[in-house]
Amino acid sequence: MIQLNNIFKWYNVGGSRSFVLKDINLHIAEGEFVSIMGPSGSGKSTLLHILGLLDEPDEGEYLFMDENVLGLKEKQRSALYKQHIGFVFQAYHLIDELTVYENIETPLIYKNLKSGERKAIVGDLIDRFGIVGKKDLFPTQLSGGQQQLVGIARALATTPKLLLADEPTGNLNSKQGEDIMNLFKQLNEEDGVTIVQVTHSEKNAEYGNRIIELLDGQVVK
Amino acid sequence: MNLNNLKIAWRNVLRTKLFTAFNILGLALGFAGFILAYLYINRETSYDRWNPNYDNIYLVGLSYQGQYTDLTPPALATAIKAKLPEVVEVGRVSYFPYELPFISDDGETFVRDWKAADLSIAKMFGVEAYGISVTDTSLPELNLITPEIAKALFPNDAVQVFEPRLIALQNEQSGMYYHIHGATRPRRLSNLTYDAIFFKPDLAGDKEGDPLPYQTYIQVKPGTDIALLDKKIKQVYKQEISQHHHVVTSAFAKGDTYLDPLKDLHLRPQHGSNTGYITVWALAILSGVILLLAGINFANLMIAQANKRAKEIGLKKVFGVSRVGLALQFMGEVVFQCVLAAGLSWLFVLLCGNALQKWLNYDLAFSALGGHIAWQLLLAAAVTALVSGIYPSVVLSGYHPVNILKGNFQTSHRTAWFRHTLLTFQFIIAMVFISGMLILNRQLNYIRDGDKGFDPAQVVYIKNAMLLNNPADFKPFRDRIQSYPGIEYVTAATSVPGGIGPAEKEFEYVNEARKADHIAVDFDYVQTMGMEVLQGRSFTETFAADSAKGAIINETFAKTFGMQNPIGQTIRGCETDFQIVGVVKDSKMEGFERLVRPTVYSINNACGQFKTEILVKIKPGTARQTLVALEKDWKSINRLDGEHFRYEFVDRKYAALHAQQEQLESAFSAFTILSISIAMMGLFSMSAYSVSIRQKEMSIRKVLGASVSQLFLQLNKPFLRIFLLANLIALPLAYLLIDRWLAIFAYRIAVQWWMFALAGCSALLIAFFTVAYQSVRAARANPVESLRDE
Repeated sequence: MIQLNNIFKWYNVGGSRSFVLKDINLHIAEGEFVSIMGPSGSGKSTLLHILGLLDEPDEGEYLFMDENVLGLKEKQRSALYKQHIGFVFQAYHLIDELTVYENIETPLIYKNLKSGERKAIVGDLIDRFGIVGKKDLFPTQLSGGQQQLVGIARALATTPKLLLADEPTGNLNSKQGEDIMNLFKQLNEEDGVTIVQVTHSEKNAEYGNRIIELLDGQVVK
Repeated sequence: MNLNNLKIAWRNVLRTKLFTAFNILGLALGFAGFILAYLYINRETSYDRWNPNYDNIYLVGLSYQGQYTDLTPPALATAIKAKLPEVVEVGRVSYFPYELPFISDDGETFVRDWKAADLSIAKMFGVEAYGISVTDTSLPELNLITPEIAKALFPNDAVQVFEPRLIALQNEQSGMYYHIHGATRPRRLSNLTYDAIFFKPDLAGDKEGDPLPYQTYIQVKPGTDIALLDKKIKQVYKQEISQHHHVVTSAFAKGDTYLDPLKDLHLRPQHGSNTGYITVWALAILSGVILLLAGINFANLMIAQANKRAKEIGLKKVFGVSRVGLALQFMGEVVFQCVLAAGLSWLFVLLCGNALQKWLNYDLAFSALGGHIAWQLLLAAAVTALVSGIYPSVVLSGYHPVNILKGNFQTSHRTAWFRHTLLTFQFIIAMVFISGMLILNRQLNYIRDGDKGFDPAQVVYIKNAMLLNNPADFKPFRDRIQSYPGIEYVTAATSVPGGIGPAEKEFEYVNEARKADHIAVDFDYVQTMGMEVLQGRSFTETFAADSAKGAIINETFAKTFGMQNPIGQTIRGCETDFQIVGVVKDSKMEGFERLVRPTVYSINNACGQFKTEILVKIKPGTARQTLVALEKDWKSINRLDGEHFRYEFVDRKYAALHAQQEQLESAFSAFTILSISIAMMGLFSMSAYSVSIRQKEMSIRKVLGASVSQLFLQLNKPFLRIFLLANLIALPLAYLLIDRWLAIFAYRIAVQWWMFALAGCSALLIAFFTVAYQSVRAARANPVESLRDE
């Protein structure tokens, strides 16, 4: 599903190049659950952003579903991830002014679904995640774990093939973290969603079926 | 600590350079508008204010059926003086309506404003002369000229005090010789203007026979009951004056007198237009509103930037600074910026003074940037600072320190309503201005290009003092002038468009008597003025009777008297029977503010006015050479008054009728531009601010698949709502105001919905461009930037 060939990413700092990613080659097959690990500043998030088409490498080749996606126009790229990719963030990034229900509905609006269809999908998700009682609350009225649940529900609303999660449990306590991880595992196994997560925690990394370790922008394992 | 406050304020300014620059610039623009407006207002309201009798002087005028005139029969003054002890002084002024050459042995000059007055007028209006007492009633006459005229008349001997000097008026052969006794001292602005003013102890006596009407001024004892006095004067007029022989034929014989206080005479005299008054008020309000707009921007940005300073506020509170202390600190910052802006605006006005003077067509230098305006500006700055600083300083100083220091402190939602209200208000003002300007502009275009009923283009009015009442006297003139190749038509008349109005007389038809204007003309008048003959014909020499009793009436006359078939009918006026030979289309010779009155044109000047104005129609493109040729030969054409060839283009003279409206238009345009730029600055800063606080939300939406255009819309939805709401309020308001303004005009454009739609669209367009830069940049930004948490 994902094929990265010789990916480089650097910043120019005072005339010399400071590499964030150095010669990354990576293959992720459909249905995998991959954890990316590494110390701070090792390039995990950048790699995830490149995978999610939010960022572009300075050099290299990226095939997503056998299509070369680098050099795509903004519109095509946005169409691609609208269709296939969901994001989960460490800080949840819910829109404060919208209710739980409306937050989950937002990506569907951008997919131009009719309001009836949107209602059905959001209703399903709310049921499935057990947050029916909370659907009219605002994000600030929820606990961190509940917010992340909403974040994941939102990411899944468009039924993506690939779910990218940037430290999804970073702001949660261990019990909440465990719940989220179990949910990921379940999604991966039962729904066949490909998941790539960035994490600091060995324990959470174990939920996946492959671990990639990064150090100073290079894959070490 | 104070030094630290200064440092914080200064660094804050540096950190938010763009916002602060906009802030101060907007405010400075507001102040500049204020200065300009008040320069004008101060000048316009200063007329005669220096006069110690300011509150006690009244003009006695006449009114009849809603018409007002400042002219009264001369005997009225004498009667008032004799009967009414509460009137301390009575004086009459008469003015010579033409420009006249004054000639001495050494020099000559044209005097435009020549008045004659009772000596009491000098006392009432504070006229003083160098070396002569104006209260000396023993002199049979006291003829004064301004120092400027004196200098032109006596260039070789320019002193202010001199023995009476003999001069001639018109030309040396005219037989009009006068002694000049001295030069007047310069006065401040007054309703009584003059280049030359000739006083007599008793200007006109109570002669019944004098047909020239006079302005009558009275000065009352302080504390007089004006309403009662008014009644008494009305009685005197009814009983003694209105029955006099010469008064009876005037339309005002049946009318009443009224009193008009001196303080109203310049800006809103009963007998004239009150446009000046409206302009003064409009400017006062406009400049206030503009300043308010700028103040609103200021308050808005202060509050909007509160987030950035929250930490400072929290820490200071923890250190024990009192709420009052904090409030004062913020207030101080506002005051500082306001004063800076005021200073900047002073600089603007100084720098652009000349350009503005030209543009607004007004002598700003006259009222110079003096102490008075400086105080007003300072006061305005203080009020602005107070109004725009009080809310932010109270709100900011009221924050709870614990909430702030816990982090993630957001104030934007709580103050959003306030900011939005302020922005709505700004939009309303800008919309009112834009639609106002559009319609004002259309009305004035209508005046400039609309159907006047006559065509002033290429018509030249040649000034002449010789009487041409008899068509036979004028014939040699016409024959001579018409021989020039560039001349189409030549005629003479008692009045010209934009000049002194025609005489108002009573005319009878069958058994009905009504007021009508009378203009005595010569042959070819209708052709010269380009008027359209609707029925019958214009005057021709082939019908001998035309000279004696032929009359042409206008449509309104026919309508007023209900004439079905006017041609051949007989009307009676000025003790003459006229036979109607033609009907012409109404012509708006007195401008668009006044309804066209029933008018009679005749060759016979039975109504006593003097036919002196010569009008020539020149073929297009030949004006210059024709006028040069005429000037060369003028002395031989006009044997009696041919010394000086002086002329005016009638279209310019006519345009001068609406000079005040044109002035209003340019002032209004200037203020519209000011208000739009201030509103734009406000919107720009607000949009920049809202972009900055919604950047995260926009990034999330982008990651969720929103396109740039969707984000743009999302980002500007609140502004669109504000815009619509503002429109909803502004358009009816604008309609109301415009309707009232248009009511000044007897002839006006119809206000139509699309004018407002146009205003709305242009405002939307301006708003769109203002927000576009910021929002597009935000919508296109890489979401990764703002979603990073580490």
